[in-house]
Amino acid sequence: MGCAGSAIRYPNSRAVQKFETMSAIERTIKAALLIQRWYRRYRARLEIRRRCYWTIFQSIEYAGEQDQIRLYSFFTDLMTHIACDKSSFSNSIANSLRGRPRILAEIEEEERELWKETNPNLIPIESTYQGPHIHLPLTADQVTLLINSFRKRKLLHAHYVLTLLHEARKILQSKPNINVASTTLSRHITICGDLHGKLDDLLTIFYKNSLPASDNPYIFNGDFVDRGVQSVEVFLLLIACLLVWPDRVFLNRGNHEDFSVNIRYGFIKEIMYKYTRHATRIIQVTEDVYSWLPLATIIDNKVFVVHGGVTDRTDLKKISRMDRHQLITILQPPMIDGKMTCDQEEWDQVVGILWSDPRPQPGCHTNSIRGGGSFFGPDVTEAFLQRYQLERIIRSHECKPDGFEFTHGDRVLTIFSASNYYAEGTNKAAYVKLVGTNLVTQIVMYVSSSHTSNAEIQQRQGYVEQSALRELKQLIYASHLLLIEKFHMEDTEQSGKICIGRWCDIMKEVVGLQLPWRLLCPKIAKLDPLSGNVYYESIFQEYTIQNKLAEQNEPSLLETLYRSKDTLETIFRFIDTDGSGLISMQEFTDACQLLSKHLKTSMHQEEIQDLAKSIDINKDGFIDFNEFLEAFRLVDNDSPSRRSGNHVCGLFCQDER
Amino acid sequence: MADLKAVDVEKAKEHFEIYDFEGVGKVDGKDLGDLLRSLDLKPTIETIMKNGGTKKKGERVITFEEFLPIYSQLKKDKDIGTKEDFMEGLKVYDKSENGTMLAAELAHVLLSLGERLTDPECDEIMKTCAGQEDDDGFIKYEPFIKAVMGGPFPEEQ
Repeated sequence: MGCAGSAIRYPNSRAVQKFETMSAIERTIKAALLIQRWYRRYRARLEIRRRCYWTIFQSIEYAGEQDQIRLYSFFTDLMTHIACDKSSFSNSIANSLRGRPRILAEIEEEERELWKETNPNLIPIESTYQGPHIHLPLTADQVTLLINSFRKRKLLHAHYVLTLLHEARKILQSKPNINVASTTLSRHITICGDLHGKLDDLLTIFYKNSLPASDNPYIFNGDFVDRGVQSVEVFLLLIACLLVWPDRVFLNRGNHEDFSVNIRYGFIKEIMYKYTRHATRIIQVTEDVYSWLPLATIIDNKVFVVHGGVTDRTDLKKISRMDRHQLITILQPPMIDGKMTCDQEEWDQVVGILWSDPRPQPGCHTNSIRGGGSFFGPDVTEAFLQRYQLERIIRSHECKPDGFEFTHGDRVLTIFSASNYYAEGTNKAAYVKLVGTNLVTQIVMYVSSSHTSNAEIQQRQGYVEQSALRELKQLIYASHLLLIEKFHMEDTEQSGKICIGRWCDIMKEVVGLQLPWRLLCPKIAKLDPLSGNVYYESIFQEYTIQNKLAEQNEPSLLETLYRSKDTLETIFRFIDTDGSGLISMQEFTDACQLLSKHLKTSMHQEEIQDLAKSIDINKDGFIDFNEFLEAFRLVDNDSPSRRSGNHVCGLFCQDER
Repeated sequence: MADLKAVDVEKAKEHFEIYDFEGVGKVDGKDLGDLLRSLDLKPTIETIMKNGGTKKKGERVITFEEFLPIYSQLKKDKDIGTKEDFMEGLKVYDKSENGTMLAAELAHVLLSLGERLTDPECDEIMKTCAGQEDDDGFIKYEPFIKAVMGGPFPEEQ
C-alpha cells in the first residue's frame, strides 16, 4: 500500500478527473489503482467460492461423524435392552451388538486367546505369493522393501501382517499412556498429523524428511486410517517403523483408531476387500493394537502432542493412571452385559482429548457438530498449559487448507498431513519440525498429487467444486420425495417456482446442513432470470437414482434406505462377522428394522420383506449387501456410463495404475 | 437501508455469514475488504480503511448492522473505471503504439505504483490474465484488461 514516492501526488480517487488533464504518470497510477482494485476483487470472489465449497465438504464430514456417534449410542442402548427383547432380533445381530467384550479379565489369558485365534502360523504362505517377504527382527532395509512394494501396489501377505501386528502389540504394551519424547540426542523432532490412508503423503514426508532414525524421531498424531484407500499400507508402514525404531517413533491414538469408526469410514471395508477370508483375524488384532496405542506425547516437558485437544476437565494424572487397554472403542465406554468396566470419568477424559476442537470463543462447550468432545477456547488452553507447566499444544483432527493453522495466540498448532483430503485440490498438507533447544517451529507444506498441483487456481477450484457438488447432490437426491413435498406445499399457485429465500430455508431444513444455500443455488437449480425464483424441479433433472428395485418396491421405503445408506452399510458390516459380504434374509430384515428404530421412522415389515425377497436374486436365502448398496447409484443423465458414489471394487483395485 | 433491495440484503447476509468465522454475527475488520469485494465492489484499500477496515486481525469487529450501511454507500460508488481508462493508463508504456507493452513493465507498474501488489499476487495475475509473452517479452494488454475485468468466473457476469 502507499504511493510510489513522495514526489508524486496520490490522485484522489473520489474526484472524477478527466484523463486528458492528467500527466502521464498520474494516468498510469490511476490505471494501476484500477487494475489492483479489480484484481483484489477477482481474488476475493475466488476466496468466497473456496470457502463456500470447503464448508460443503466439512459439513458433510462432520454430519457423518455425528451420525456415527448417534448410531453407536443407539447400539449401546439396544445392548442393555437386548436381553429382554431377544425374540425380535436374530441371534447373530444380538451377538454382534454385544460387542467384543473383555470377558477375560486376566491379561495372560486374553493374550493366549488372541494368539490362538490370530497366530500368523495359521496362515501359510503359498509358493505363488509375489509380495514382499519379511522376517523378524525387522530392519530398516525391510522398511524400504515394504515401501517399494507398496509403491508397486503389492499386498503384504496376511501371515506377515499378523506377524507385524503381534510384534507391535508387544512394544506398545510397554509404553505409558502418555509418551515421553526428548530432543536431547537428535536436536529436533518431526510431528505429522492425520494421514487417513494416504500412502502418497506418508511417502512424501519420508522423502522430504528421511525415514525415522536414531537421530530423526517422529510423532504420528493419530488418524492413520479411514477415508483414503491405502489405510492398510499406511498403518503397516507406521507399525514397521515402530518396530525398527521403537524409541524414536511415537504413535498417538486418534479417534479413527477405533473399529466402530472404521466400520463406517472405510478401513474395515478395505481390509475385507484386500484380505477376504483372513480379514477377520487381522481386524481382531488391529482392534487390540488400537487399545494399546498411547494417548498423547509430551516433548521435552514443553509441548503436548495429542490428536484432538483438551477440555477444562482434562486431567493428565488421571489419564496417565488409567488402564487404556480397556478402551476398545472410544464411541462408548467399555461394557460387559450393560455395565461399564471402567470409570465414566476416565472415558470422558479420553473422549475429550481425542475428539475436541479449538475455537476462538472462550470457555468449553459441547462439540455439537461432531457429537463428541468439546470446543475449547483460549482460556481453556491457557489454564491447561499453566496447570502442567507446558508451553504449547500440537494437535490434528481438523483439515486445514494449508495443512496447518495456529490459533489461541499461537499456543495451539493444528497439523494435518493428508493432502487433497476432501477431493483433488482442496488442501495442502503439512508436517512440523521442532528444532533446537528452543524447539523452534518449522512447517513444511506439500501436496502429493500430480493432477492438480500445476493447474491454475481456477482449474483447481473447478475440480474441487465438481467434487463438492457431486457429494452434495447425492444428499439432495436422497431426500427427493421429502423436498418435493415441501416445495409443493410452498408453491400454492403450482407455478413450479418458489422464491429463493424459501428455497434456502427448505433445503437447509430437509438436507440438514448449514450451508450458504443462496450462493450454491445457481449451481444446483435453474433460476428464472426475471424474478430470481427457483424452478425447484430442476434440481432433480440432472441425475436419476437408477434403481432396478424401484419397479417392485415402495419408493418412499427405498428413499429412506438410500438416505441412510451409510448407516445401513455400517449396520450390515457390523453383522457380517465373517467378512463375506453376505447376510441372511432374516439378518437383512432385522438390519432394516434396526435402522427404522434408530431413525425413528416407520418401515413396514411387509415392505421390507418384499424388498429382501426381490434382492435375493438366486433365491438361496442370502443377500450380497455390497450389491444391494450398489443398486442405489446416482447416474448422470447426460452420460449414463459415468456414475457417482462409491465403487467398492474400483476404489481398492490393486492394479489400477 | 432504503436503497438496498431485499435480494441484495440477503446476498450480503450470506456472504457476511461466510466471513463470520466464529458464528457470532461479527466479521473481523481485516476481512471487510474481501467481504465487500466478494459482493462485487472494488474499493481501494484507502476506502476500506476509512470505513472501518483494519490491517491486522483482532483489532476491530463489525456487525451486520454496521456492515450494511457501508455496503450500501460503497455500492453507489461510480468511479470504478472502464476499459478505456485502463487502456489509456497503460498506453504510456506502449512505445510502438501497437497494443503491446513489456510484461516486465506491467509487473513493475502493479508492484510499485498505486496500492502495490505483492510479488506472489503479481505473479498470479500475470500467470492467469496476461497471456503468452512473445520472444521479446511483450504482451497484448487489451486481453489482459479484459481478463482482469472479467473476473475469475466470467460466465457469471
